[in-house]
Amino acid sequence: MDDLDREELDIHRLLSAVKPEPLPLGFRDGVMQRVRGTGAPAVWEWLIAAAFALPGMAYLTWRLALNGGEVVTSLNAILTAAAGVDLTGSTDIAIDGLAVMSFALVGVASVLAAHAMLRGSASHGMIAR
Amino acid sequence: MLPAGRAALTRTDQEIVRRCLSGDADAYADLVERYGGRVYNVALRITHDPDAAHDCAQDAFIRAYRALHQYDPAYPFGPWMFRITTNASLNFIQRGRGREITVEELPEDPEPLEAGPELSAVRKEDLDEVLAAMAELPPAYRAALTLRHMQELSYQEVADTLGIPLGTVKTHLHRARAALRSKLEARRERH
Repeated sequence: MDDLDREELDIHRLLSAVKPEPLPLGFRDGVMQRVRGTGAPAVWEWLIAAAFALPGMAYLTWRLALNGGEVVTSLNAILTAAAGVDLTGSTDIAIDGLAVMSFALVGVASVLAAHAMLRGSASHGMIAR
Repeated sequence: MLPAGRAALTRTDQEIVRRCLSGDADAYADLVERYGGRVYNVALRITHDPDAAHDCAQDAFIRAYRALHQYDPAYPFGPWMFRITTNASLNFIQRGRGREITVEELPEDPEPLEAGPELSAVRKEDLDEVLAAMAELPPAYRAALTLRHMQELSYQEVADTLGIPLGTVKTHLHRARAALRSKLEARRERH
């Protein structure tokens, strides 16, 4: 260091005498594990999420367009019963197997998308405050 | 032709960064090896907590890796890495690690103490005392002192690392040193 002022010499001597602590064991491996694990772009996750979600969403949208009125009526009946306004009414909701599968696929897609999003936001972390 | 290990040693930081950017993630291990100790110690002096320093240092390397495309190879890698480390450590402290003294809470110009026999006597004491006194300073001062006196960066490099003007760095360091002298004196009087 060639730009040391006289007034900082004493503190400099003092602080530069503090021995650096050794790096914790396994530090490098830990970093490299994370680099290899999270370094790859998450594009594939988005693609898989889309592949899962799109057919499910399409089917659910189609079903809703087709039987939207029935669903609204059924939901209203459920809400009325839940609110205790009318306990005598009865309602049925018919959910076919494809709808259940579509819900499951959309759920899986949401998990994948959430993971990809978290990864993305972490990768755009702060460099400058 | 050099063996792989020696070739890695002779590679410049910029060459390693280039390799990482071209898809060779393993090359990054050389940078971690090269800067790991210094990065960990910067984090340790700022956070004053080995576990936190470990996390902050790891976090800094991961952030740096993900931001390698933003690194300008015209500048040295070290200060850029320290900047990320300092930010990670200061952010860690800011995220509610209890009550820390801020720069504004210290007197503008603490009682200046003459550097002389008192301080050289302190130097003979356990250096833990110095670190304990340093831990009582605001994090921003700890960061400045660490970068300047422990990592031996120039004033300009400290300014670049902390992202503040050169004049502010000089003022910060002047006050930080004065505060550290006062703390050391106070500790000596207590014992």
